[in-house]
Order: sequence, then C-alpha cells, then structure tokens
Amino acid sequence: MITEFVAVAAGSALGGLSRFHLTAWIDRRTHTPVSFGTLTVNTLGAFVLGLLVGILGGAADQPAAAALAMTGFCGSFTTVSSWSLQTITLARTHRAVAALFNLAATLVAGVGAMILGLTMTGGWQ
Amino acid sequence: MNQAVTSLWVALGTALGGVLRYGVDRFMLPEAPFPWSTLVVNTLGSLLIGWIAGRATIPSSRLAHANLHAFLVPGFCAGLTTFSVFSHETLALLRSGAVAAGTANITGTIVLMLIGSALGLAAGRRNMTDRTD
Repeated sequence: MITEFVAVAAGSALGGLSRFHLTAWIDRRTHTPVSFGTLTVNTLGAFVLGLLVGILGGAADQPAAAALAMTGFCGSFTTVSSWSLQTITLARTHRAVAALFNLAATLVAGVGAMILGLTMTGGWQ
Repeated sequence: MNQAVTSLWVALGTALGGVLRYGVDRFMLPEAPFPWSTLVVNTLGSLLIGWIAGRATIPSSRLAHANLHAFLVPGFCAGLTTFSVFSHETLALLRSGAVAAGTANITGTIVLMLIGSALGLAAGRRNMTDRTD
C-alpha cells in the first residue's frame, strides 16, 4: 500500500515535469489559440497508457509497476484541468469554433491513440 | 536556476495531486462499475484551476506569484486530473458493452469540467479590486 503511494508520487512527479516542459516547448513554437502542447501531451499520454495496458495488464497483476507507470506517470502526464480551462478561455474570447475543435480533437485523438497503443501490445482483443 | 526552481515546484505539485487522485481512486467506491473517482477529481481540478486563473488576474494576488502558480496549476491541478485514465476507463466501459455508461462518462466529464472551470473563474474574479489573497 505505502509502496504504491510512493510509486504514484514518483511517477507523477516525472510525468508532470515531462508534461510541463513538452507543453511549453510546443506552445512556444505554435502560437495558436488552441494549445497544441496540451493536445499533444493528452494524445501521447493516452497512447502510452494504451501500450502499458497491453504490456502490464490490469493493475491487479503488477500493482507497483502499474502505480508508477500508469496511475503515476501517464495519469499525471495528461491533464483535464488545463484542457477545460483552455476550452473555457477560447469560448470566452469568442473563439467558439476553436473551443469545439479543442474538445473534439482531444477526444478523438486521445481515444484513437489509446486504441493504437492497445493494438500494438495486444491489449485490444 | 529560475527554471530549475519552477520545475521543482511543478514536480512537487504534480506528485501531491497524483497521490490525492490515487487516494480518491483507492477509497472512493473502489468496487463501483462506473469510474466516479476520476469524474470527481477531474471536476474538482477544473474548478480549482478556474478559481486560480480568476484570482491570478490580480497582480497583487499571491496566486500570481510564479512559484506558487507552478506548484498549483501545471503541478497540483494537472496532477490531480487525468485525461489518459479517463480515456482508458471510457474505452473499457464501451468495450464491455456498457455503451450508456461510457457515453455518460464522456458527456458527464465534459459538462462538469467546463461548468467547474467557468464557475471557478467567475468566483475567482469576484471582488477582485478589493481582495489581495
């Protein structure tokens, strides 16, 4: 139990750092109303989680590894709070189309990437 | 140096948010067929980020300070919330044939996160001229 909480903390710290720097790096280069940084980390994180589900199986099989890599790293590498605030900001600044694009693109790309990841490691059967 | 300090605050905030998310997942309705715990953390994180964004518009607010902002926004809020786990749980529901529950999870998450952020933002911006927290 304690091991899993420590593993989640370590995986989260690493996932958060990676998300923060990758998002900043992408957003510095794109300069668009939609944050392609956030879109990218959410898509990439869903893909990696899909891969890991195929490799590690359910959390019950390898609890510490699942806590570190799945709940910790992938869970914290992706974000709903930034996605939500950025969508609200787009809507408030009269960019309704961009707001709708941000919602739809994240969902489609995220779920699509996860299916791809699952397929690649045998988690989709 | 500044960037290293910011990174440290982001890492600490994310670790704390991630651990809280895991705690909620472990102890809130662990046997429920619907992923309530993820819906709850995603809604709470969206509410909190909105409130902070509203507060941070005041330069004199402590929340406008770079390190505290790094700890709370890309740190705690982003660590507390998760898109990848939400996607996985939704996909698992849909694949198991629980199409209504999977659809409800998508709709519920989007509606609640947006309401949360909008309400948080509105609350954070209230009385912004005479409050300096």
